[in-house]
Parts: sequence; structure tokens; C-alpha cells
Amino acid sequence: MSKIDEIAAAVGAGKAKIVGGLVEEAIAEGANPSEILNKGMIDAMAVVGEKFKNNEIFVPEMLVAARAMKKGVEVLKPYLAGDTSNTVGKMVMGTVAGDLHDIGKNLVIMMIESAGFEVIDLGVDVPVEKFLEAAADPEVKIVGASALLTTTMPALRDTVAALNKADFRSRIKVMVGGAPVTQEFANEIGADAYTGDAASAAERAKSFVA
Amino acid sequence: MGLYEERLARVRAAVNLEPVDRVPHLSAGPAAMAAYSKVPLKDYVSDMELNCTANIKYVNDFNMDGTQAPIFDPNILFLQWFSPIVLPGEGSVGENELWQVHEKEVMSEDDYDKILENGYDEWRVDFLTKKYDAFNKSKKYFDYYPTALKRHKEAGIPSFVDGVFQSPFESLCGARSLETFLIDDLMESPEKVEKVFEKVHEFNMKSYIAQIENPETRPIGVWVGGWRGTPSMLNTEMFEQYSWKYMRELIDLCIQYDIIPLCHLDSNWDNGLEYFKTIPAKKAIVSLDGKTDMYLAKEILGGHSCIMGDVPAEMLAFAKPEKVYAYASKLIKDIGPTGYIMCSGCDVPFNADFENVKMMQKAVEDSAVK
Repeated sequence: MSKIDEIAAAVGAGKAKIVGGLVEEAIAEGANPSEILNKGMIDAMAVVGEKFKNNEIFVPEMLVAARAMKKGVEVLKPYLAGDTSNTVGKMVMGTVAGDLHDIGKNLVIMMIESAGFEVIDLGVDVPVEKFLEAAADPEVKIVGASALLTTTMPALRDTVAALNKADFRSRIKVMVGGAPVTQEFANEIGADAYTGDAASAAERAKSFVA
Repeated sequence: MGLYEERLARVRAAVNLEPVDRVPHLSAGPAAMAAYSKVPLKDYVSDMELNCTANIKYVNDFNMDGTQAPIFDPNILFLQWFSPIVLPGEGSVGENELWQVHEKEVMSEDDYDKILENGYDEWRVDFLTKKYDAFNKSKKYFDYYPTALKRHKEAGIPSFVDGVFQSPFESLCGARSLETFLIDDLMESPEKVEKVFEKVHEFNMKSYIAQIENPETRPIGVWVGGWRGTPSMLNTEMFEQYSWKYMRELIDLCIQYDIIPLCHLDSNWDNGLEYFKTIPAKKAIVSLDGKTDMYLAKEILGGHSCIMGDVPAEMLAFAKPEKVYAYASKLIKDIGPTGYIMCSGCDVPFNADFENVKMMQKAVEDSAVK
């Protein structure tokens, strides 16, 4: 088994404690840092996402795999510095104005980062203007917005409406989610995608930049 | 037969899977009850008498068959799942805006050791006091509760939730916050977590038995909730070991004392419906929130347990009344009429259109045996 395969296996099994060491060993053996990232980690997380979708693994196993990848990326980062080709794109994420819930959003961020995105986390209770300001960055390819309450779904509608009017709209895709949000509501407010869980969100985001 | 007895009998008949004159309808969603009476949420959560008055008006104006909350104070949520609550008028939440659970890591990893060393009760009192002042904050709720029950009974309204029987999974997950609990605790130190679960559960069971055996506090029904320890969150082995095992004991406890376990199942329980087939038939209510397939529930639990729900919150907030009427009527026809209770999926939301709530009741009344 190659070192990169070992990294992929460790990420898939969520072995956060050993991933960093394996990355160091791979670098010492002369492996290409981009290949470690793409084949050892991002591809491994794609397999994790697929297993999740097929009910072969569940949320805890998915989260430990994402954390293992994060540990590996921390070690790998200095070797990737300055090489922007290693991210598949930049995504902005936030929970809409008036909504303080961040658990679901954070899970989505973990999975989106594991898919190779750089994520700008705007946090919770994010006003429309802040979404617009962040999305104006020409490198941003996707904006994700979530609402966990029916009372904040109107703020989600306002956020998507404002993004839809922005002159950079054709450059970005808008994804929405949250417990009361449905595909029907996403269609109605003009979002590009709705997903019901973190793994599907990562898969959908990847499809937008493929 | 008085109104109270008539409504109680109707719900009991649904639980027993007996024919009903009309499908019963239970209320859910205290914030909506405040909104219906135009009581600002800050006043609603601080004045339990006003709170109770609003709740009674809501149930009786819509001619529902019972309540799941004679009064409600969001502070009690901290006692149940150990996550801080931001009340109306606090922080960025306006005085007439919905309270929100602000889940964060309020329990440290060391707390597991403290529970194992000093016992759960000692830790619990210290934690609830220091982290949220939970006993003082919820005192007004517990002080008024017997009066609220009495007022509801006088108004002809049975309460089917007079207690929350909690599995340790839900409260400790709330205290540690989801990510930390699943990754650092359950996946890294499962043996220790399980030992703590046993301590917590032992204490809870004793408390619940004491509540049941006291004639003053003996409930008709209690909430047995599951929203994190679900079969869509956990693999089968983990679900059975860390969640269902305790839920099942809570359900069995209720049944042993002839109390209705109202199993409030948030999130998707499609993969977990079979477990409810293993509990004694005609004893429990399986309440679904719009994420579980009601038709699958009917297929698996029809003829075994009463099913309740699941008019979705977003539909009650944003759909046209005709759509809600059609949805509710279809539920009665397909899931009921026997062994079915009309209800929202989880709560009727704060921003519900009350014409939509009326449509749920209209569907129930239109389906009544003439």
C-alpha cells in the first residue's frame, strides 16, 4: 500500500491521530503535496460521502473522517502555501438574519471543506448585506445560506432575492438548507439548490464547480 | 359525559386503536398559542397565568381534544437538554421574537469523570445551577403548573404531556454540543460515555417513578423524545446501544404504570419504525414531525400503535389553507381514521397562519361520523 493509500485509509476510518504523521512521512518520501491532498484526502472523503448517502455509515463516522482530513490538511498546508490550484473553489456560508443556529451549518462546512473548498464562514444571524459583501469577492463560486426556524425563512427568502439581483449572480450558485426548508421552498425563492444533509451539500457543491 | 371526559376518551380510543366519532386533534406549539392571543412572547414566557390563559383559549377556540403543554417556559428546556436558551428580549432576540436554543459546549470532558466519581445528582445540581441558574429560572413554571392543570381540566382540556422522560443521549449531546459529543465522546471514549449514561439513566428513572407514584403529579401521558439519538443519525449498533435501549426503558416504564408514552420523534425515523413494533400494542403514540414517511409508518405500525402528526411547520406558516385542508384530509383518510391523531409535525410555528390551523380542525370535523 502506498503512503497516499495509507492516508486515504486513515481519513476514511477517521483516524485523526495518525493522519498527520502519515502526511509527514509521505512528504519525506517525496510525494507531491497536491496529490496527497487530492488522492489521499479529497477522494477519500468522496468515498465517505458516498457511503453516507448509501446508509453504510452515519453522521459520527462521517464527522470523524472529516476531522481526520482536517488534521492532515493542517500538516500539509505549509507545503501547499501559495498554490491556489489546490482548492476547488471558494464558498461563503452563513445562517440568515435573526437565526442563531449554527450546528447544521457547521456540519455542512466540515463536509464542504473536506470536498476541497475554501469556506468563508460568516457565522449566524447574518444580515443580507454581509452575504452580498462576501459574495462580491470574485473568487467566490457558491453561497450557502441556512435557516432553522420558519420565522427566519423569510430572511432566507430576502437573502436569496438580494443575491439574485446582484450583478455577479451569474458567477455564483446559491444553495439553501435547514430543517424547515424544502426543495419546493428553494425553487420558490430562486435558489439553485437545496440539500437535506451535509454530505449531499458537499456533493452538490462539487457538481457546481466540476 | 363532560367535555374533559369526552376529549380524554376520544384520545384514549385512538391510542387503543378503537373506532372514534372523529379523529382527535392535539395542540402543539406554545409560541403559536401566544401569537394567537396576541400576547408578546416576552410577556408569555414571564407570566405563567397569562401563558395558561392563552393556551386554554387556543385549544378551546379551535375545539382541539387536548394539549401537550398546559403552560410553557423555555427555561425548562435547559433542564431537559442542557443547552442555553436565548429568551425573547435577550441578546439579539427581540421581545416578540421566538426563543432560540443556543447550543454550545457547556459541559467539559472532565465532567464525565465528576459524574462517575461523585454521582450524577450532585453534578447535575451544580451544573444546572452554575451554567444557567436553571432551578430559579424555571421556578415560576413549576410553581404554577398544578394551577395550570386545574384550569385546563376546568376548561375541559386534558393534558397529554405532563413530563418529559429523557434518554441520557439527548441531554448529554445538548450539553457537549453535537459535534463534540459525537466525535470526541461517543467515538473516542464510548465505554466512559456508556458508564455515564447508566448513572444518568438510573437517576432519571428514579425521578420519573417518583413523579408517577405521587398522586399529585401522576401524568396521563409524558413525552419520550428523540431528535439526536435517531436511526438516521447513528448506525444500527450505536442507535441500539446508546439511544434506543434507554428510550425503550422509558416507554416500558410508562406502559407499566398505564401512562401514555407520547414518543416525539423529530428528524427521520424511517429506519427506526420497526423498533416501535416491539413495544406492547395499543399503548403508545408515535408522533412524527414531517421528516419521517407517514405512509411507511402506517405500513409498519398500522394496527399496532397510534400515529400522530405530521402537518409540516412550513406548510402551516406559508401554504394556502386549501393545501393544508387537503393534506390534513388525506392524512385522516390514509393514516387514520382509526389509530390516528391529527397534529402538526413537531410544533405549530410562531408565524403560523391560523386559517391553516383552522383547516386541520375542519378536516377532522368533516371526517366525523355523522
